[in-house]
Amino acid sequence: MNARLYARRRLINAFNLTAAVLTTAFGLFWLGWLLWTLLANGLPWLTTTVFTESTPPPGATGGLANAIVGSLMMVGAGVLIGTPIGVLAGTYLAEFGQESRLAAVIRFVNDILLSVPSIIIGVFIYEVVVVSSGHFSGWAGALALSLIVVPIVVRTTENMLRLVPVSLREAAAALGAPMWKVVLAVVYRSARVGVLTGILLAIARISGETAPLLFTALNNQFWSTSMDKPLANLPVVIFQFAMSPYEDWQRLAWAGALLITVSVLTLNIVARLLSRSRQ
Amino acid sequence: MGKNGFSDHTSRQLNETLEGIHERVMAMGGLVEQQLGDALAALISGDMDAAERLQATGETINAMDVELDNRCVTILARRQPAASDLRLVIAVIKAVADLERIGDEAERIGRMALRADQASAYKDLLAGLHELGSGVRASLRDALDSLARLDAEQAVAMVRRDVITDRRYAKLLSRIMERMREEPEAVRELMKLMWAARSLERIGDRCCNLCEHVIYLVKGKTVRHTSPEQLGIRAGVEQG
Amino acid sequence: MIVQSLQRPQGIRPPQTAAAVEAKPTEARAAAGTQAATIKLSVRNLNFYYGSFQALHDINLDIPAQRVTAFIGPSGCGKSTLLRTFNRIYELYPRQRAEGELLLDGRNVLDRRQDLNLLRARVGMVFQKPTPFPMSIYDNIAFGVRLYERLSRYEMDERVEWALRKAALWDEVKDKLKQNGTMLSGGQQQRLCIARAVAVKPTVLLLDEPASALDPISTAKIEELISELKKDYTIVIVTHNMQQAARVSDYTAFMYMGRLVEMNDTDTLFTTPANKQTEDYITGRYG
Repeated sequence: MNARLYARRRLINAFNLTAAVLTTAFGLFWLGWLLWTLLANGLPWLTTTVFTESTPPPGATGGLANAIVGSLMMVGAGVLIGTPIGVLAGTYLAEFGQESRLAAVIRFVNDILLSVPSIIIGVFIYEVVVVSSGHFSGWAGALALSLIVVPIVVRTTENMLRLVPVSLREAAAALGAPMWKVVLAVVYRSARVGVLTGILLAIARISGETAPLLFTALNNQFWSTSMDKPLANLPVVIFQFAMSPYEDWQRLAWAGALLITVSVLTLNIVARLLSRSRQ
Repeated sequence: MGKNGFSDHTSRQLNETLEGIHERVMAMGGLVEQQLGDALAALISGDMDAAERLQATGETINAMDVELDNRCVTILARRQPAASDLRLVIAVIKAVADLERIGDEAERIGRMALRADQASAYKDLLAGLHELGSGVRASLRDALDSLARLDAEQAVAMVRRDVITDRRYAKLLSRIMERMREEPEAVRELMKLMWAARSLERIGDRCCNLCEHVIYLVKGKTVRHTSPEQLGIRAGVEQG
Repeated sequence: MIVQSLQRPQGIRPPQTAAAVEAKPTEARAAAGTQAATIKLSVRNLNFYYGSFQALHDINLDIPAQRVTAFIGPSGCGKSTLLRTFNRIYELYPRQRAEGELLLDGRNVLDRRQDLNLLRARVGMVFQKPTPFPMSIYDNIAFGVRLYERLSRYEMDERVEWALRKAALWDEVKDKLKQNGTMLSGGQQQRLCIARAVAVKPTVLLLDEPASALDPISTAKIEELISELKKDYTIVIVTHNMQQAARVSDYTAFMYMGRLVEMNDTDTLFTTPANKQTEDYITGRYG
């Protein structure tokens, strides 16, 4: 063994290790600061009224109840619309399309959709739904969100199904099971945790989206659960309140921001735990 | 190794195959024993029925020799036996060869039988051959028994007893040679008796070989070319 | 019992290989070595392609019923490919295709009118890696049965037990049928897969290197199982372990570079192969 060469190698190793640790610390530092700011500014105002009362006019007391419910409704509807489409499309790509031309095209389009800025999706739904129906609505918001859900779910579903060993499909097919049965009874069963994780990540992603809702659901100062009318939602409320000059609105914005961040964090952690339990 | 160490493989087929060759080699041994008995009956008591059986039995023995050889080759080729299984197959291959030679020698002894009118003149020599033959038959029975029971102690004991056969053979031989000097005109008949005695002695040696194969099979020790005194120690059946 | 054998009747038993001795060494095309048994599966002029690559060249051979036939040969010789044509499992992949005839009980199953799933119900397959489905042991067995039969709860219980017994697994799992099949050990998983294949009552059982992922004890169990199963099934096994082929099979086919070099009864092939290539392979003189 060449001692000098070995010493050199160790030096390089030490240098790279230090660099890696430092960059990780750099990233974590900002994340920690962000969480700290949110907690410091949001936690004091996160009272029960936030959950029980609707958004107030400036100077009055109030909460975010209408925005929370509106967000839940639109996220729920968006997921309900987007997930089946995404799962089916992902299944097609993984199980049936495979290397075909059509599958390649779909995959390409899906990748574009995945990286389209969400404001473009907002504008698109505005043009197609809001303009043609003549008014903003919860449904328009849900549709915009579902358009964000679809590519994420397509991607994760395909990846998760592809992780299922080919031998398992062959084994099921070798028993004489038709393809649909193979997919339903065997492949889905193996991949279900992974697919579910993908859906959770999609929910986490859309629950913080502001831009598409700004153009579609707009906002509603009052308590409303009608999906046909403009619907209050957390991201837009935060946007408006934070930009306002009124101090009590700004406080509510902090509380809402903390609320969203915590739920997104929770969803991510659950998704992580799920995918770990699979192995 | 237990009384029957061939039957505890996971593969039932291997059990059956190994048991099969062991049984078969014992059956061959039984035939060879019969062959030797018939040969002695023809030689000493002039039993013509026994003499007639010799050839047919000889052919059967030869067929079994070929069959067992083939079986062993198949086992080697298909099962790649190891340890005691391997020793069984090797021991069987060697035992089969010895048994086949014993069968041949016995057939030759049968051919040395004198005509009834001549035999009466050599009663004393025939009595000697009878004694030698009985000893060799006992040796063969012991050897086969030790092979059947996989009993190394018995095999060692048998090899030790072979000296008796050698001594009897030497004594008989000198008596026959003496008789040749006295009656040079009867040399043809006396030669026959001499050949028979020589065959019996060889059968005794082959029985020792059989026992050595048994010792190899049971103990995994090669004891050929060992003096009878050292044999028990080398075979590991008694203290040094 | 061995002492008894000294007094055995002394007639000659027919040698073990009597039935097979008739077999003459084959040219690659003649389906010899199999006259003793009825033919279950005949391969006629079979060619196989992965896209534009030809993996099998003009294969002709006969698989006798209720016997174990082994395919041996170096990696990439086409033995697995040939096996995978027997249940047309290759059709899961669009770029693979077979040409020629494959006669199962005299009917060409490569015919496009042949129902694929029915064919696979008749020709079961077990793969190299154990592939238990992510469901209970019971459901693993019942899965295939439910595809083609409507059984009452009781009948299904019986079938599951029957299949597990056939695969010599019943005693090990009878108290945990509700447990997930993936919790079993590798050897048990493979026997579960054999039970699963047996449960649909196929007539042919294809084994694609069924023991290559297993430890020696499990391997011995699988091999013992194979010699039990051949009483009821026609078994074709692909193995890269030629000692395994020698141990378990009645007939062996040696393949090389996508061609059938020699097929004969296993005794003959492993003691006096007719072909130089076969000899070189089984004596370890390749490469």
